[in-house]
Amino acid sequence: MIGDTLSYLYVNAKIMAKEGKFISASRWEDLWGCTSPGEIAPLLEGTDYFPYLNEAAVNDAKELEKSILKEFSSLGREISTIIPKGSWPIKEYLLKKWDVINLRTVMRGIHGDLKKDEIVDSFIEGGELGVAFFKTLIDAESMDDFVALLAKTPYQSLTDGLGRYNETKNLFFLEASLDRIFWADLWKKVLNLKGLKEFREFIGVCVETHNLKIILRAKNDGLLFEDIKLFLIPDCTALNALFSAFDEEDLSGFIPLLEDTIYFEPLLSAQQEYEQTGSVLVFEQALDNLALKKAEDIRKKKPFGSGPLVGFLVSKDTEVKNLLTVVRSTEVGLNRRDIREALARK
Amino acid sequence: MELSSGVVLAIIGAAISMGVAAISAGVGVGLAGVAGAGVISEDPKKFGPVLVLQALPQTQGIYGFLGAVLILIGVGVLGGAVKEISIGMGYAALGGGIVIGLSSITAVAQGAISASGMGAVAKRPETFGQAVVLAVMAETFAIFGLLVAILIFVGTKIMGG
Repeated sequence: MIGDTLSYLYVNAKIMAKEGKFISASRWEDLWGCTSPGEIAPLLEGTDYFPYLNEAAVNDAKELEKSILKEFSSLGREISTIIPKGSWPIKEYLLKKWDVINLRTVMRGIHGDLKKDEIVDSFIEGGELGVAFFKTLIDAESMDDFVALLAKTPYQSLTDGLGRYNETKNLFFLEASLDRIFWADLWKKVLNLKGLKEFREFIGVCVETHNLKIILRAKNDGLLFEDIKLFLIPDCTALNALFSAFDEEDLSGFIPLLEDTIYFEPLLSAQQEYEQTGSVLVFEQALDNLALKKAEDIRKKKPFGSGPLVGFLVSKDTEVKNLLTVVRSTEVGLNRRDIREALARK
Repeated sequence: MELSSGVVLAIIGAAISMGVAAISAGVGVGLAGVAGAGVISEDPKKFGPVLVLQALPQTQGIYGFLGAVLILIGVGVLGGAVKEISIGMGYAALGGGIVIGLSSITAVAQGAISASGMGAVAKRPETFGQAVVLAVMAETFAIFGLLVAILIFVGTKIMGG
């Protein structure tokens, strides 16, 4: 425990200083009222995003979005260089996340038949594979070619989702497969590690959240267990009951099965909104909020070691998501109330 | 020069007082310094509050030094004429040195508190006062240790004898 505390002293002090530069509540109030990127950029002064904003970002929502993501990825790289050596799974989490984001960009580009320049422009440097590798992927003529190009990378088992994608042309199967690769690999690594208890606890919640999102979306789309079983991560004891009851219960019948878990309350609260809107996004948002709360709990429970880092990473992730929501809303002209509704955490 | 056993014991007491306090204060300042570097790398303007918090664990080193000097003056090692003191007085001086040395280990905990305080100040600058108060709490026991040592020195006539 003392070793953990000492090795994280520098990291924790640094991240707390970074938290001092988070967007304040009063600044959020101003951001919700913005109607153009030009109004957003000056409000980011004093935050870590500001040095990443160029002239183009002030005038263009896409560029502003990219600047925010660049800051986020460079933060991940920075933290990955200062965390103790024994915390290598956190480093993998920080870096591979950007590989997954870039792969998703390529997949969506191929699926939506986007121009190659447009896809390349959306890449964010910061992962383990590097942008040069992703540039080689955009030459793929089809999704089959794309998946074939991933042979000998950690993402070669994207083939699991390829068959169903080709049958249905539903990107869900490939995206679910990609997420499974990321979380399952990380889960396997942290399970076999002696230390990093707090990080393991957090990844456990992320893995279960991944499974729940797949299950709820699949149920909403009328899929069978057979269709999604390849995308679920096993060894999640809290969800075993759900796996076996998948084909028997409808979506609302699922939630009571989770009664003894931390997921029950948030999903039950979101159920009413789901019944009104029919959008499974309300469940996904409830699960994201739960992951954030869990990270905050971990941080309070263990104020030394990797606990504060877990809390920081999730808070930063939420801040970025919220900021991107505000930026995107200026493109589609959402009003203040709609933006607040859309935020990951109000 | 021939030294009596009493004087040798007193010198060992002075050595423990200074030696243990130096190690403890060094570790405490080191812990706070590591955290301070993390804060300053993000926000160099926080150097002032960081420096104050980093300096707090140093005081135990000063107490150790003070204890050692008092012993050395008391037995005449400082000041030119080494006194003839009994073995009993030597043990008393050694006890005083040990109590200062051991109570100075609080500097390690103080360093950890200061390190956390720096994080708190970096996140919310208005918490500086509270962070200092929390760190100073650990100091209390080092002060008690120094007071007890002084009482021993006065009571056994090592000081003022």
